[in-house]
Amino acid sequence: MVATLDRVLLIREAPMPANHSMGDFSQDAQLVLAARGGDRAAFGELYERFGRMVHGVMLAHVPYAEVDDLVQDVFLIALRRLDSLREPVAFAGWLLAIARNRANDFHRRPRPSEEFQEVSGNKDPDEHEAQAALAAIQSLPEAYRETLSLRLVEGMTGPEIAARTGLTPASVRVNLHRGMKQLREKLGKSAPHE
Amino acid sequence: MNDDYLWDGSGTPDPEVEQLEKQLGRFQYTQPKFEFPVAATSPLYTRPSRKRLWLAAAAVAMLLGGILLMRELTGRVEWTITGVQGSPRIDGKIAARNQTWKIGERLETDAASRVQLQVDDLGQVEVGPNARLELMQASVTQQQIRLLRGTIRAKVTAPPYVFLVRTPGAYAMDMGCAYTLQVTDGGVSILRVSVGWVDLQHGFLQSLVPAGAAAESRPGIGPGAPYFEDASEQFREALETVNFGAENSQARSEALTIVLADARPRDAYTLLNLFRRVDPEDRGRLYDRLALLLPPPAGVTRQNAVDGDDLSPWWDKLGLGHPKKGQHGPPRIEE
Repeated sequence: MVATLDRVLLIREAPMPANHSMGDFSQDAQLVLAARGGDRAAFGELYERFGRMVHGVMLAHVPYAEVDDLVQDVFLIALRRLDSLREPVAFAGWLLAIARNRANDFHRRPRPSEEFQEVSGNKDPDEHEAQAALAAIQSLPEAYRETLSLRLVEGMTGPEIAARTGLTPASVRVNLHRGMKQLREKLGKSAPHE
Repeated sequence: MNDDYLWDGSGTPDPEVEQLEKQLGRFQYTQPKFEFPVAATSPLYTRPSRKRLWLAAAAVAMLLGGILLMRELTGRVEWTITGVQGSPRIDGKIAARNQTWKIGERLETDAASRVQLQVDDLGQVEVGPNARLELMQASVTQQQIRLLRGTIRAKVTAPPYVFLVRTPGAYAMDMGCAYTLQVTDGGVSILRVSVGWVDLQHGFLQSLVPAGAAAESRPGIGPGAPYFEDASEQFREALETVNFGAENSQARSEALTIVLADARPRDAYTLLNLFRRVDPEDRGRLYDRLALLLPPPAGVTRQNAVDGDDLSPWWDKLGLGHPKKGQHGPPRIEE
């Protein structure tokens, strides 16, 4: 039931981030409007502003080897559908919804059988550990994996994650704290004393 | 050790976080430029020729004509005012019976007015006093309104996930049901379901609310765990802290103690919804209490609960049935 229902992430326009500054809103919205008018540079700027966020969110859901292509897909979809975005200030949430939908689609579609996928046996120890850490993040509950991916992989700070994703700073902090605790458990590390 | 370093990189670096940053840095985003598709397929083009503009205009005209024709053939969905009390307004003008409420228009009622709307054969919506709402979408596959303030009562016969209400705290997605939905001046929304199920969603949080249950949603947080309204007042007050008291972990833990003590077998549904909302260290005692109220099915262990694993088999034991997901599953609402 709740735990197994497909998530409905295909919202036309996600609620506006409550903690995004008006200046950011205004700049993002102006870029969206300019991109709608045919300004390639404006869309390129949106890509630069939000590419890291989309990459981090994707990485929380799909294999690393697929992420770059899927990030490009997400922005292509956004480019095609930009006119359907009713509120330019809601661009960030709208883009996140596209990214999560694309990640869901990836898992729904048939993929090459395992023998055609990357063989992990030849990795050097560092690579192996990094892959294990990433796999551990991807196995966390959904609430934690995206925030941890954005923080630990993409290097975004908690306030940046809150501003970009629309979550409250308090929620991001809680997600980071609890997610990190679970990650330590999964990686066999003991939590520091609090 | 506090988590300032994890939060914003300040304070004393946590060695494990630093190590993970170093390890995982290899997966970091490195693609700074967007690869535009070829011009012919991109909506972002430069300096089109006059001939191309005319061709494009003709194509658009044909497309629009086709869309209008299709809408006529397939039946467009209209929101029609079928009942009026007092002086409700649409975009500032007094609304009248038989008037159509169109996409983008704002419908408002004052303290003495109410409105009844018919959504073709998809359902009826009653709007109470002091309400403000906007119609966002009105197609056969997607109805979406934004409720900014006040109370609506909806009775929906549309397939699941066709009828959506956007509130400041969550999307309320109908799964074949009847319900009331109130948004307070503070943006808190309160959903009460009388028939069927409603799916509340915001960001990472989801609550499926069955008939007889209610759930609150808050801006910036999302939906809380649903509860049956005949639960004790103490239970509901404590649940509010567990759901929305994210700032104070100790207060939430204490509130959880009250919730567990006051929970009846009927409240097992609420407890199951709490596994994803409580701190991991509280999951064990949540499991223990729930196991007394509703023995877990074979294969669901305390460790599963503590680890945050899928507890679906336990949901099945509740006997509440399964909400209909519709012919095509969850809706494919265009972003």
